[in-house]
Amino acid sequence: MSATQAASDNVLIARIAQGDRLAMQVLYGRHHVRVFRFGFRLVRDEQVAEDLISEVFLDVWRQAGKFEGRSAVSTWLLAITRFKALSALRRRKDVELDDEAANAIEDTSDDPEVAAQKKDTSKALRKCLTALSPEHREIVDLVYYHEKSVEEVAEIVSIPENTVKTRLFYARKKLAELLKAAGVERGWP
Amino acid sequence: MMATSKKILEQEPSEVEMLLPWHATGTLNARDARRVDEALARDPALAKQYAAIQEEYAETIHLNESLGAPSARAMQKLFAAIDGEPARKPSVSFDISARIAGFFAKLSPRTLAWSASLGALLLLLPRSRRRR
Repeated sequence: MSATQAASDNVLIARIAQGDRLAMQVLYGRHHVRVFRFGFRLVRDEQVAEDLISEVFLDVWRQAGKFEGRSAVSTWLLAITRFKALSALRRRKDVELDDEAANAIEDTSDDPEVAAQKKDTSKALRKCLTALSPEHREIVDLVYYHEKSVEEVAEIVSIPENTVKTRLFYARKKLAELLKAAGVERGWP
Repeated sequence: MMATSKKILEQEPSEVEMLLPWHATGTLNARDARRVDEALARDPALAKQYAAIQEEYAETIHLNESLGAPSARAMQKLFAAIDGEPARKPSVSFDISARIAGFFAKLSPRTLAWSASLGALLLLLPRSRRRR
């Protein structure tokens, strides 16, 4: 995200704090797809993810006056989304399904579908990215898709910066293991 | 025991190795980016890992883009909820500045010019008295 957009996001937040609906529409238009995708990857349910974005932006409407601009608006939005997504997951109580999904990938070496994917590293990579644990998925998405710095990820996930670095390293290691189990060798680790 | 500790040490990633994904996305500061560039130039194993990271980076974007976008229902729900929120009072400072701006906006240019001249005169008068 450019510095100009970050600055104009701050102006929008200031206008939203004054009750400006038009500013809210602009901010929503600018960020709702990324917020939706981040939420969707965490909760894995389209309807729940759609409900999440309404809740996230409603929070922005209510809390805009308290926003101090110490971080980028997009970072603030992702932090709210994460908080809401985790609450939704706690309500659903089916988080353990994620581990099952990861195991399923490792155990399906004879699955014809996986065998076909061996020929297509990109496809296999995307499938394995989906099978990562929620913790690993979110850090991979924040760094690679949302292009957040170490400091910004630390703020969104509320963990120290060193933990951010090691967590992504082990997420990548897990990804390599999943790929290996699916028959894809990339020469690392 | 020694062998185990050595193995653990071997598995510990280096700082530069951990920074590779941020180098790929261009979110490192200049100092760290330079450190990573130098390490990549002298370590082929690290360069191989970096190639794998670039693949992960591209596929993560591809995967997220394939998730599509939310329906219009989400926006309708949001603005219906906003409509249900209590009306917001503008902050006091905003209110006062808006009133002042409104007052001056009502004055004609000629009245505004006369008022400004009178104000300047009032400011200068006490100074000239002090000089005497």
